[in-house]
Amino acid sequence: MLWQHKRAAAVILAAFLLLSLSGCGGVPLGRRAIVKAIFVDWTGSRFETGLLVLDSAPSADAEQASSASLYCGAAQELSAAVVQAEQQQDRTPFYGQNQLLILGKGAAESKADAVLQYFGTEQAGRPGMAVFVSEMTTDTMKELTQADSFASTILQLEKEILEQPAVEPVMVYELPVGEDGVNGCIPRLALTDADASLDALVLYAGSEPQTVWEGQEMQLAQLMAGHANRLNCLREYDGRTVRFTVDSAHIQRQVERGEDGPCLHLVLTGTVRWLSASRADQQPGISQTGSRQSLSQQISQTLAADLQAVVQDAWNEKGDAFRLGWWFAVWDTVWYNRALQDGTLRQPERIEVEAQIAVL
Amino acid sequence: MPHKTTVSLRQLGCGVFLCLICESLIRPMAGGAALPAYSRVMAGVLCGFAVWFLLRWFCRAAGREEFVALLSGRGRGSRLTLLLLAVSFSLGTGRSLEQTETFYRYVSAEGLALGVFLLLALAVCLYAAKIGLESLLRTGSILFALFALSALLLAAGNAPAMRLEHLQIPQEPVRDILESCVKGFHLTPELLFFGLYAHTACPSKSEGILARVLAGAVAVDILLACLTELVLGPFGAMQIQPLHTLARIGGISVFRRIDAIHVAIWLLISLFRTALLCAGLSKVLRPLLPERLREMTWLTALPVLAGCWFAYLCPIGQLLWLQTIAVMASAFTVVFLLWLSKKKGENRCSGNINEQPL
Amino acid sequence: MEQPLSTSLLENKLALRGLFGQSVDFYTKDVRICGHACCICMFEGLSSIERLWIMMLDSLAHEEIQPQTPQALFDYLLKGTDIPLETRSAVCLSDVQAQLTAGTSVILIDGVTQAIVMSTQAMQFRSVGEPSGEGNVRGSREGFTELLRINFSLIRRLVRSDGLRIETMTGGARTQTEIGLCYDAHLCPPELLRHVRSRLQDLPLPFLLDSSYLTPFLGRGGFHFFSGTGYTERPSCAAAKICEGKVVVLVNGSPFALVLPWLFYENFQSMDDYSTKAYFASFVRMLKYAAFLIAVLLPGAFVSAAGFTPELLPPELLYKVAAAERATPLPLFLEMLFVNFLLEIIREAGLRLPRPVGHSVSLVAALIIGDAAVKAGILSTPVVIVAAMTAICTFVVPSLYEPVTILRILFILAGGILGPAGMLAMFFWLLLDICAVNSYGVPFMTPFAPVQRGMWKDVLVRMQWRSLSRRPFEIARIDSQRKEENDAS
Repeated sequence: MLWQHKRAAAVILAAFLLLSLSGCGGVPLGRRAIVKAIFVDWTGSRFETGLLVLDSAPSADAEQASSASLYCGAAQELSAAVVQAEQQQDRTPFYGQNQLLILGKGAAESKADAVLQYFGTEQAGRPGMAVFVSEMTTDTMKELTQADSFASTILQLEKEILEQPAVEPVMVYELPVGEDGVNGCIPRLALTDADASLDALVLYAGSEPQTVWEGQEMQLAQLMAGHANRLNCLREYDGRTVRFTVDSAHIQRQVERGEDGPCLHLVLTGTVRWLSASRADQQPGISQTGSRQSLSQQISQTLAADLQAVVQDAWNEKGDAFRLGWWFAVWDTVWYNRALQDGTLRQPERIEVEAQIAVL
Repeated sequence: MPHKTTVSLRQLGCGVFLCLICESLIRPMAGGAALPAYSRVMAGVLCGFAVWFLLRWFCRAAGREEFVALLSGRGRGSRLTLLLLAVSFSLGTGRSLEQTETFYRYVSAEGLALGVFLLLALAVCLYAAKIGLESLLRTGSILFALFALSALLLAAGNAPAMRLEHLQIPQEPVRDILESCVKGFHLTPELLFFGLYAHTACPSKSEGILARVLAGAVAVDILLACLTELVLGPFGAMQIQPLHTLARIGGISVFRRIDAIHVAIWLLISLFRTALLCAGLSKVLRPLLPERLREMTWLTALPVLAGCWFAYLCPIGQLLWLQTIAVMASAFTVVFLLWLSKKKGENRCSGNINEQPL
Repeated sequence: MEQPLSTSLLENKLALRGLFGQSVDFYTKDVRICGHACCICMFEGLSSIERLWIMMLDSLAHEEIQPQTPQALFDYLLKGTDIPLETRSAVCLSDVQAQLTAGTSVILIDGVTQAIVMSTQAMQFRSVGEPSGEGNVRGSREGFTELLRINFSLIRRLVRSDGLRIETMTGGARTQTEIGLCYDAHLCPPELLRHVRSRLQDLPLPFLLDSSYLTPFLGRGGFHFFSGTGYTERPSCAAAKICEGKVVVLVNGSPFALVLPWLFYENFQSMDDYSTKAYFASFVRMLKYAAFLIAVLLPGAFVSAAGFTPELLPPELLYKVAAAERATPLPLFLEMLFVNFLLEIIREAGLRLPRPVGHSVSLVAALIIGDAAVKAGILSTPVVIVAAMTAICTFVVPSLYEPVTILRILFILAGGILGPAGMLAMFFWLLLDICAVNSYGVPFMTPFAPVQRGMWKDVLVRMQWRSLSRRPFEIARIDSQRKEENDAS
């Protein structure tokens, strides 16, 4: 009996020590600053960071986030700027809900690689953070944050862009910073206090923005990157305005030997199930079979031309955003290495584009 | 009704399989996915063959009756054998604890004090050692199902993000494969379980089960390596924990934060591995202890803590090699002693070891 | 107390008076039967003098045969008449005591050392009605009662095969309570039966008032949250378990029958599963498993997530929880503990109070906790919702109520104090504990761990009867399957 008492006492003592010495309990939610987005800009001499924190008024009866605050920091090193921003408020910053990384005008133009390299490390941010470029500066962001509806705008942005995207977002892990810098496409964010939308796609090669694609080109670029499988188009054919949607859009890639070496064939396939065509002086209607076939050819030709332009923007000496070189490497690694070294790889004539769109 | 302990080889195989795949899930922080997938695939197959070839002799020898006598402290060289086994298990348990704690500290923003974590993990593992191997292996069956769920979720959640263009093209395949083989080869003490416990089940089939377990572990490693490279590509090479990165990225439908499920399952598997090694250590320590101390399972904590201390101090590469040497030495000693006894025709000690709750 | 009966009627009467003292319900009446001095003994309330008269005295009054000696009278009564007597007569005081307390009447004959026992039981007992728990939509509405013999008859009515065996023994030194053992001799493993018999025969209990008293003595020692012994109030369920080769233990005075062995998955089965369509039964069963996991893990996981890993919470919920936490005085962890304890208090109060008052308790609890406390900012809505959900989930599997309640509190403590590490360690320990339980030689977690292939037809889902009837489940098959699989591996 005495041994059992001693054992019980030992267990209770151990439990007590565990409770009192473990420094346990975690940080209460009320003491955490929930960072919703990180804004980074470059002024020419230093980084300026802004941590967008969303808060809700204390209520036992549950309430949605109602206010937004921007805590700013500035330093020559990005990590120091982030730390300074964190220290602007006394709560523990919490990045677990942070899904948005916004590059300001200056950072987008010249410091994209440094920013992505920093946030690509595992402890600095979530690899699933969506990256955007914008025309904003830190001051613009501060003004926007003061609007009452900005908190709900940001929440709406997160919901629409990340859960029901019209334009597929690009995540941090899709933009690795290699020896030749950043190669890829980053969506451009147009943000106001009441609205947020993605209006363009910016092509980066060698860490610098090369081209800005909007509208149709943006969709084709998304298709090339594997982020879309549908194209919404509006064109003029034979004096008619044709609005159509290409479903199940897909680009097949095939390397074939040509006269001057291997050539990568890109074939855009898809089907048009919905189409409306109208003249200025006529009601909209569906064209007849004969004209449907010629329309199919016209659509294929114009899409092929547009796609060729997009591909040529991305396939040059500065970079290969769509990793088309991989196909050549798989086809013949020795030839690929040689062509890469002597600069004959990324020539426009190496890529041929074709489209085969069926109009049903 | 008196319960007859039965440890089936299938359960044992499942338990050892979980321990082996733990190496793939919770990387030892020695390096990320820097090695390309194609080299890891080939190296995995070659290392698997090498391990099976080395250990089949041990399994074959351990199926004999003289091995039972060795394990129970009787026979020439038994104390040396048990000591070597104890060192292997001690290093293995310590490394496993250290790995679990490091991974937990890495993935959670709110870390736990080292002492508290070790105390918690050790308490659970000692309890596991006390209740016996059979119960522990039953837990392994459940964890195996959880692992299958985790693997399925990981693959399904990351499938849309797979890109063929992310696969690295071999530049110097032979050199890369050899480099992978050298970096990746090591022996872990759980492989000795087939020898330690096979005689309670069906000794003649332990080699086949070992082969299947190794094949399964290699297959899992290959699949994970391919998945990592297909999804992350060059980004994965910059990650210390690429699988954890995959878990954070992957999501299914509206469930975007299932990395917590993955981490929980992987940590459970890691705890299971620690508990299994602890049970093995307890088993080989018992005959070495004086009679009155043999029922005190908590004494196993001392060599575990020693192994843990070693694991924290030693660089991971050196530790793995030390562990490999200890395991090889144990296996070789057993094979050698049994060969000697067979050669000299010593009196066979017959005895059955019934597995008792330790 | 093996004092044999004396030939002297007076001595026997005095011995019985000495045994039962001045108990007012102990009735004795001197009579003359066929000219011989006799004494009728019974306990009022347990036995009926009217039945005695109808059964015996009236018929004897019309008999022409007149036995000459007391022994002849005894033999005549025992073997020569149609009077329904117990086959075994009482030969000593302890026999007489046992028979009297069982509700029979004992007739002592002057000059004979044995006493005649007559089945004149007329004790008051609760009639066979619907049991309080184990609710069913379809299926039998009968439940066990407190009387052992009635319970035997309920089982015998359902299992009409020649294999059914019913044995009795006594337990409890002071109460000498009758215990019944029911099993199918063709299906029940002999080892299991031997084990149960030997455990019941060596019971160190001073008194036995309910079948649950037997549980700790039937299994192996050591603490485990889950028990390898189940219980049921329904004869149909008991009959089903007997047909699986299990042993059902009944105790006089308890309407709960023990079932041995009892496996984990059986807690999620109900008789309704076999009356409804297979797809719906499977759906309900999966719900129960989910409810069990929610009941055990949800509060702890919520507290752990809120305190240590808030990234697990969806964004909308995170803000609401954060707002609620800032508005309430207690930390989330303590709030959760407090609400859970409060729910247990309310449950206990509702159980013990008289029924008319019990409804008021529920109303007051709902108003105070559900409404006023939240509006006053003392408790937060997310915590109340989680606790309420958990409580409802707990009631879905009532047979696991006790372990689930305690485990829930332990998980809250582990999650609140140590966070995810505590939750994981606790979960691992729970897995180890539950896998360590052996229910009379059968692993408690069968067929989950170890995996048993032939048993999955009626575990997570319920297959159709055509499939189930092809190879009905028997407990003896588990051991032979394990041996086959060991050999195969």
